[in-house]
Amino acid sequence: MTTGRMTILGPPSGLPAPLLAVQDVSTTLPTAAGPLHAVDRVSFTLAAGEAVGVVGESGSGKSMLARTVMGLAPPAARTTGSVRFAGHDLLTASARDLREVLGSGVAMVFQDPATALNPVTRIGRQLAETLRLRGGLDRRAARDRAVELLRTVGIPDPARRARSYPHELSGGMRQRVCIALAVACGPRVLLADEPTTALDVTVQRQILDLLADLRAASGMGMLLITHDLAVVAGRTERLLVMYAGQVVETGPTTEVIRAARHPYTAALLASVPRLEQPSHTRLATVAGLPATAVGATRGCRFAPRCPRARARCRQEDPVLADPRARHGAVPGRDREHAVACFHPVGGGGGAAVRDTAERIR
Amino acid sequence: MTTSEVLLRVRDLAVDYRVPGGAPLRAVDGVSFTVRRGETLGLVGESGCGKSSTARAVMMLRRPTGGRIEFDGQDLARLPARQLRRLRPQLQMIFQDPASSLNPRRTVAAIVAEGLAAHRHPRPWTRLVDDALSAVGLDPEAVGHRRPTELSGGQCQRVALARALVLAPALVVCDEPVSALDVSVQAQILNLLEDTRRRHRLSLLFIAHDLAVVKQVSDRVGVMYLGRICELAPAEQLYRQPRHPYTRALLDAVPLLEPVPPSGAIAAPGSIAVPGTVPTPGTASTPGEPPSPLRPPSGCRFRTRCDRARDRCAEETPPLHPVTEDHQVACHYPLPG
Amino acid sequence: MRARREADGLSLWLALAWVAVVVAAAVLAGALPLRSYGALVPGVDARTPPGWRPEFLGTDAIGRSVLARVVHGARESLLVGIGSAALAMAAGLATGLAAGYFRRWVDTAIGVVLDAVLAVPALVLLIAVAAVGRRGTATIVLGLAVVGTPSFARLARASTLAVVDREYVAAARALGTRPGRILRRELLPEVVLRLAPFAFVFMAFAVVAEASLSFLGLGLPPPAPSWGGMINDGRPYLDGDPFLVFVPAVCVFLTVASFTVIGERARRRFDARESRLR
Ligand SMILES: Nc1ncnc2c1ncn2[C@@H]1O[C@H](COP(=O)(O)OP(=O)(O)OP(=O)(O)O)[C@@H](O)[C@H]1O
Ligand SMILES: Nc1ncnc2c1ncn2[C@@H]1O[C@H](COP(=O)(O)OP(=O)(O)OP(=O)(O)O)[C@@H](O)[C@H]1O
Ligand code: SF4
Ligand code: SF4
Ligand SMILES: [Mg+2]
Ligand SMILES: [Mg+2]
Repeated sequence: MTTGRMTILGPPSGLPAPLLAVQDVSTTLPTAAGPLHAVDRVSFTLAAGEAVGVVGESGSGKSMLARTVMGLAPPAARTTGSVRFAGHDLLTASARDLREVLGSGVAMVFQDPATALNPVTRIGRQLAETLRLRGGLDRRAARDRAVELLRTVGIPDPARRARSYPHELSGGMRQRVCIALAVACGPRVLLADEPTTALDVTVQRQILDLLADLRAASGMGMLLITHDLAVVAGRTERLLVMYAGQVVETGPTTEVIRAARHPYTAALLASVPRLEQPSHTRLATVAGLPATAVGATRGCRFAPRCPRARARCRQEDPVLADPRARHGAVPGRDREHAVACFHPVGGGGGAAVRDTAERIR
Repeated sequence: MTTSEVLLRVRDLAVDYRVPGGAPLRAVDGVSFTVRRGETLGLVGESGCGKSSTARAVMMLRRPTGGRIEFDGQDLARLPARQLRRLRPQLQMIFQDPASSLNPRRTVAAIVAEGLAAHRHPRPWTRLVDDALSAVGLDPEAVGHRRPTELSGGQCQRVALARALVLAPALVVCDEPVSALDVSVQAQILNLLEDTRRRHRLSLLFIAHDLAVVKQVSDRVGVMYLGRICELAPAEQLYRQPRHPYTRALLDAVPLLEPVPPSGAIAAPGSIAVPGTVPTPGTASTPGEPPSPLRPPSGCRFRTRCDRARDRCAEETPPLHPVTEDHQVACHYPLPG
Repeated sequence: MRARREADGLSLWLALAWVAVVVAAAVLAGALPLRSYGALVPGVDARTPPGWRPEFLGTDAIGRSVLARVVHGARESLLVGIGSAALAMAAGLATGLAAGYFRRWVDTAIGVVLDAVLAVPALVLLIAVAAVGRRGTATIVLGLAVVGTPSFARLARASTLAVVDREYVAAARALGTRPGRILRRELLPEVVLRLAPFAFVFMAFAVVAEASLSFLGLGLPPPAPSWGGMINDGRPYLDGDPFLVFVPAVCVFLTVASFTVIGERARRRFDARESRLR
């Protein structure tokens, strides 16, 4: 494994057939105060070898989206929409089909590596068992492959380390083991839910490099979930920005970051302290707290915190649309920059948007 | 630097923890720094490097194993309990976990008034408590009767700041005050800390693991690794021109919002670079993780991960020494300035 | 699931109702239109079985009113239950909090003393206390409190350790709050809440213990009634007149069961709230 520069062939020009197609997915949880719209009409696709980022603050529904896509929403949740993967709809698939798909088709890496591993089983054994049960390897082959996998994810002296218990490893090492477990059966889609939030920066860098390498080597698609915009910035091709369960902005990552159109994305970007700013720079803030949508809501969910909000924002639901279209009526096409806002910011602000817009014209 | 300019002077601080079996764990090993009046000193480092242990020792929440903690010219570690208590109001702290640093069974007003009660401040306290709550942007009417469990993380940190401010402190030690908060709330609290510092002429010892957050609030920054300070310099200088290999490594690892494109790399037509594999120019990621503080490497503690390490690094501990005025580095072979 | 929850609710209400009845009996015993508990019921034979007439719950081996004695006996049982639990809890809190907060030599010293108390069997301890003190309620309460203190202390110490490292305790120290005030304001409320469920269980234990003490002849001096004493007195007649044992035994059983139910519910409420707090 190298962590050097690497290029792979991108998806063929035009739209590649998506590996994973998420269409209008909603997840509603019953709560004492009424139904909580944890995920609300989210759509996206993921092609082979592609990385899509999901960012949003705590409670915006990122984890619930990942769980829903995995067919693992809590039993009390009501889900609608469709998640198409390899000819199955994961939302309606039988438990048996789902088992077949999970692990070998779609796998997940969690935020907290400490709780994702069985504390009383040696890590080599955990890996080998997964390989035997799901990969159909025999005992010996599974053991060898487990050591091989540990080597792949960058664990030094893997043969000896395979005999360690999870608590004997550092947080970074444990996350590597979790990743090894997730990729053990060669999944085609990897959902990484805040895989580096619990880790230090130098280790975070290593883990993100590792995920990129695995992706480049195997061509799997990856959904990278994080609350840290900088983490997705250099690591994903496309981005979904979530607020209160909804995708409020989506598009090519660099474009969304350089020329955010949604007031929430813009505010989020402005509130991140940056290394290149001088000390004591005043940070731009959004008043108020991140919201969750409970019960029937009307209008834009960001309106109570939005400096640009006007009457219409409180009455109508903005839908994802191409920010370049005049009246926001063109439904957002999947691969283009789209924003759910009546009064998007910027307009001529971002060079990227302007350029693309001109090219299209 | 005259003594009156210096509010806090920490010298050769050592903190040990007893651990089962064998020698104690030395979490802080010979740390020295000063905090000047009205200044913010940032301390940054990875998990387990001893930031919280340093903060707790400075606050005398845990008696240090060795070293001096001079606050306003008095060595706190040698002060009798009664005098230390009298000094306490000047020396306050904000903790990382907003929920657990406030007693869930007491009301916000009682929590903020606790310092006044502890020092037998003459009643009534209502006015002082309300002023402190207003100063941190909370409505005393609305939150005074509530309990911490009914507040958000950001509101809890505001209450914690109010609790500190009510005693009119000179130094506030902030141990990861924004690490548990959302980005948009983090910005609110960072701005609030800056405003408060200016308005109340506070000195801050600001601890965090996020380099950008530390830079945002600090005048000078110290970088810690495995219980020691490896570099200490004015913020701008440290971030622009780090001299210690570890500081460099940390800075290189920080993901940037707008990554610098790989220089000279022009993607072949029809191919795209996988963004994840674009390294920051001229750097490779630092291998490995910090070793266990129970068995730290001899000599320079960073040598097991340092690409500049040579024999001398294993034999001699590099002392923290000035490379320019105000810029100190603990490295035998510092990066060129 | 739902049936289970309803049954739980019902048992709690029944338990609370019974405890209310016992408390009312204990408090109002003197004021109720009852016969004297010490005097014979005129014109009624000894060991007359219960019935509407001539005597509601019958008469005991000498011919005294069982109803009057059971009602007055509630006072003794309750006093012993609540008194010894309160005393043991107070002593346990004081020692447990101190041990958990100061640790080091305080913890060691308290630990040694408590271990010594625990090493002596409860019965031996009780007989010793009874031998030293006068025969009476106070001695029984004291004896049971001595027996219970180590358990309360251990629980209090463990609860203290569970909260003492929370940052709000450190925050209080940083404010300059004195240890006494930290113990009272920051730790005590939390620890009391964690001890409360056990206190009810201990009350149940104490009520039974009082009965067995009377059984051993360590109870109240006659003619003062207590449930345990009544059971003891009725024992020789178990074959012919089981009601003499049965009536006080049912009272003991219901009271113990009620305390246990209340304690269990308190614990569950506490756990549920804890999980919401975290
Ligand atoms: N099991 C559950 N039952 C009820 N509500 C839930 C459950 N899990 C999550 N929620 C709620 O659903 C909403 C979305 O939660 P989710 O965990 O997806 O957020 P997130 O974006 O992953 O946040 P974080 O950054 O904190 O992980 C939140 O309001 C949360 O409180
Ligand atoms: N009470 C304790 N007993 C034993 N070891 C401890 C104790 N507290 C901290 N340590 C150890 O001391 C070292 C320094 O811990 P400290 O909490 O000061 O680090 P930190 O820099 O604040 O880390 P973090 O970013 O994780 O908060 C760590 O190795 C830690 O495991
Ligand atoms: S729709 Fe209105 S309220 Fe919502 S983000 Fe846009 S401007 Fe703000
Ligand atoms: S002293 Fe040696 S090992 Fe340590 S940082 Fe400097 S060059 Fe690297
Ligand atoms: Mg989550
Ligand atoms: Mg810490």
